[in-house]
Amino acid sequence: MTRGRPLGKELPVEEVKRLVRETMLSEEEVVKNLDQLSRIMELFDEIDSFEEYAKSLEPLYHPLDQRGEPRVDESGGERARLEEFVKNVRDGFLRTPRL
Amino acid sequence: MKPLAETPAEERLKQLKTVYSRQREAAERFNAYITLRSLEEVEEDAESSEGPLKGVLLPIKDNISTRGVKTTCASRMLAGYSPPYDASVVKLLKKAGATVVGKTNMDEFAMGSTGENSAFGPTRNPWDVDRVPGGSSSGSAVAVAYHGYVSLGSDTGGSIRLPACYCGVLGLKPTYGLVSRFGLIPYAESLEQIGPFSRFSKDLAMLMKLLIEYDEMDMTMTPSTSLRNSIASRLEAIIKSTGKPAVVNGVKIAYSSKLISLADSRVQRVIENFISYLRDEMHAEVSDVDLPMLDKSLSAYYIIAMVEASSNLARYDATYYITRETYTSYWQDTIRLRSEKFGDEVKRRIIMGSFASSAGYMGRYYLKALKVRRFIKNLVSEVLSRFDFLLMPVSPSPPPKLGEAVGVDAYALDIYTVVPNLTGHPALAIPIGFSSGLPVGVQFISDYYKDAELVYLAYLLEDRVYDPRKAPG
Repeated sequence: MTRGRPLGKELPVEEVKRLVRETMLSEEEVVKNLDQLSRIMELFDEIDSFEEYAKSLEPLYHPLDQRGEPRVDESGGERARLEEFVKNVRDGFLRTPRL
Repeated sequence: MKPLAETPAEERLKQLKTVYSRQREAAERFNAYITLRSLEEVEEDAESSEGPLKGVLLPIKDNISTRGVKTTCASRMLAGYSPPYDASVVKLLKKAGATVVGKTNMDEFAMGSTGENSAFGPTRNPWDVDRVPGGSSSGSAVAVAYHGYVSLGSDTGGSIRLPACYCGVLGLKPTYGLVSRFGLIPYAESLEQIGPFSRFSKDLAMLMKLLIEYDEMDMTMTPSTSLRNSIASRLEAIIKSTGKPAVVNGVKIAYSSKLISLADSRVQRVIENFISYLRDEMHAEVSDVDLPMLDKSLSAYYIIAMVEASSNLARYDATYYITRETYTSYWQDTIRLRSEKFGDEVKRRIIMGSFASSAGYMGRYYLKALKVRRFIKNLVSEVLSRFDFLLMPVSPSPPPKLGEAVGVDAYALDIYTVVPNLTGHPALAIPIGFSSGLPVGVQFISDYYKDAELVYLAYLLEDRVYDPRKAPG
């Protein structure tokens, strides 16, 4: 591998090595995949062709612009059954069903 | 062969051995399954089940959790994993009487378009074993194409529609938020949906009617009960239909000749004939529209998908996926684990997804891709405000030979399919003919929650444009 050889327009090999460490993969992965990673960078760079169409738009994180509605924070079902054990204490030890 | 929806449960049970033996053949000849349950287990389950799907054998993609049945995502990372719970869609279909026959082969973690990126070997196309069946839901498509009836897959960028097209069956990516994703092992959650494959349109309607039940375990589901009831009643009407109109006066269909011209000439020819059929025989109003930049959607799709993948797959580390006996240190073991157990395509997507979302590059790539996503959504929504359906090719070419489209080369196969994943619209792949003995399909995209209208379109075209009984030898 040539040190400092850029991948696509902007990504130097040293940068990829840093990313490999961050992604918890071994450095050999970058050597093995150098050509494919370069080609993915070229694909990524094609995003620039949208510049005039999309620059004034807001990012769309979710396809339907939905807002996440969390469930009511209540225990129930299996969790409630398990929580019953917490009440069943003798001599400081949890009592569980006999296996 | 007739639709399961028109076959009584007793008859389905009588045919069970025959249907099962075909699935065993699909496993042996085309590597369609990672796990195939034994005939005894399947028979026992089928006989003891109750409901409208009693006697229906259901192949399920191996990234959808099945209680007590191995769910590997076609990865060495999860090779021994048996989930302690069923995905909500599995629970729904089991409750309706379906019997899980096995877990189908796929591209590792649903990352691929050919079915070749599997730790358990490539799936093969039943129409030509030297060619790919499409991916990532490769085995689920093959299971239906090879004398099966229905199956489940997941679609992140075309993973249901592409294999459906290459194998000559129906494959539906539902509207985002209509079908629960709880229990689907995630790859890119803002893009992916679980959906059905089928041979007959009525069976597609039957499965969808069950799959659209609201599930509080998936917070991205659309909660409207009236909307679900309305879709269910339209699907029920398809199941009960006895005839079909000869023409579809007033149905407006848009297509882009510029987009179609990017496809291989063999695919173009079949699609152009189909458009003529829609116009001349079915009396649909078919119009050529301009869809600027849609052919460049791949870059936005792959940036978003890889960013989400790198985040989702960060969970595979030495905390949970290594045994105490082999543990040395968290950091070293995690690097070793991930390097050994992930396949090359998965590693590439993790690396590039981390890059596109990292400080210094996020605005340059990820945020820009999200803006492009809005542009594409606006564009498609505008077309669908004027037309009932948008018709597009599924694939730019017939199925490639095994080894012909590897790594980044395979990304180009998704050029048409990623659009509805970016926008969340429903899309259905329908077979429309053959070229040199290989199936060719198109996809119809409709407005949000018009999933039943797509199934009805398939119902209208069934036996006219494609023969649902046709299967490879």
